[in-house]
Amino acid sequence: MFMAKLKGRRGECRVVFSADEDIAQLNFYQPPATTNVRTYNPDESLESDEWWYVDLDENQRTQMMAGYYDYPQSSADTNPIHSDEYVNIEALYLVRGQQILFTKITDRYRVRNKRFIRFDGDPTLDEQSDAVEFTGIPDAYYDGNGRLYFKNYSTIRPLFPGIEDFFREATRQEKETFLNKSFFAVEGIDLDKIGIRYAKKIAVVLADSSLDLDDPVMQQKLRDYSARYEEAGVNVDESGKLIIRTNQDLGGVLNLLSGRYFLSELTGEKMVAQATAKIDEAVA
Amino acid sequence: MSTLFKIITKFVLTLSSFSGVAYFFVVINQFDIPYVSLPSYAQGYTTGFIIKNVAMVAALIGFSYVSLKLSQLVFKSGETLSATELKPIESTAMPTYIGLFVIALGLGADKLREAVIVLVVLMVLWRLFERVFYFNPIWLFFGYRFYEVRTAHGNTFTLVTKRADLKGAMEFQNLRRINNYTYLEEEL
Repeated sequence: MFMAKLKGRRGECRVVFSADEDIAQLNFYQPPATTNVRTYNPDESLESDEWWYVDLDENQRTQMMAGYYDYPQSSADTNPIHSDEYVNIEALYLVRGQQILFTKITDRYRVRNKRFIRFDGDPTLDEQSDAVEFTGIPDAYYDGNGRLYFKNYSTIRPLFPGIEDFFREATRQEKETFLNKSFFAVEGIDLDKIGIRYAKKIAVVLADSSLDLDDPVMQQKLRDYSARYEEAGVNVDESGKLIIRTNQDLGGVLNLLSGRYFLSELTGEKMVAQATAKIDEAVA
Repeated sequence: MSTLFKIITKFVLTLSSFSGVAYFFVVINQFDIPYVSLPSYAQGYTTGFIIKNVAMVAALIGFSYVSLKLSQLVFKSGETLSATELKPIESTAMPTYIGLFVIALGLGADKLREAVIVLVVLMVLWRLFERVFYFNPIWLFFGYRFYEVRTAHGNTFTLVTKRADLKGAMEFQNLRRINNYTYLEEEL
């Protein structure tokens, strides 16, 4: 079933093609090769032949995908797309069994009153309007087993409600919770001036159950870590707390908590990584 | 298939659905079949009456068959429907049709103008409100059954299928969408 998702909060879907002979014409629309894939990390960039992926748990599958399966299972519950609605198409998607391919449609793909000269046989002038250019290149692919692949997070974000939970920024309350930790000596930090990058890192730190900032053992590990990389500028006060007085201090502490400081095995130099991932996730 | 073909097919479906009314109107008024003159031995009341009626019934059945085949030609299959409830509707639709036949029997030739006006009004209403379900009693003789189907989304549809005695929740594949509320199942 080939469907269109419309813009708007309700995000209604319409049938584009249901007949087998029409779907067969879309044979060029195929899932991407999933050999070069990486766990999504907003601090990293992607090569042209790579894809990001995220693994969805049961709740996330229900929240993000259930709506896309609904209407192909019962297309009678929605209507065929009407020409008036073409301007509202947000995405086109193809359901093949449990797999779904998505292509985001933006205004540059909408064809309004364009004239073409066709050269098959005698040249003829064709006028197209109320059309959508369909490149057949997917922007996202759901494999039906809980894994969602995509190229560009900001492109596919409107299509999957709840996906921002993966990479969400910390709320004001969470920023407050973080800075109120007894392990930090905080002074002069304005919560509203903490940028998106640091807010995302705070959310990740708070969500990491292995990083218990109230645990004295973990606190000592972090003090020792900061001592080994004192060039990073993460300072400790007399009571053993990490000092956060400026935005720079905050950045340094967050890098420490993310384990970004390391020693190069090749050169012996102290380095700071732009992003980190566990080895089994990085080579998935 | 173009929109025009679909409109024509839906019009044929509607005409065929109500063709029985026309039959009874013609029968009660003993109209002659245009351009057809029966041979002398068949012109007696009973023989002529039988021949005319057989011919008309055959024409009705033929017209209904054509409407069915036209639907299969014009409307593509591939739609799906996930039903939570199924209910046969012959028992509710037939009394309506019988009522229409009785009305037709009561319309004499002197009421032809009124009959045409009623027909035109019905046609206009049909065109404005597409929520018709094309019930055709003659299709019952072709083996089709009509069901009212409800889905989990709370929508109600008419399903025309050759499968009899359907009950409970069921999934349907390869349906033809006649309109947004009427679906015809491909022969299995």
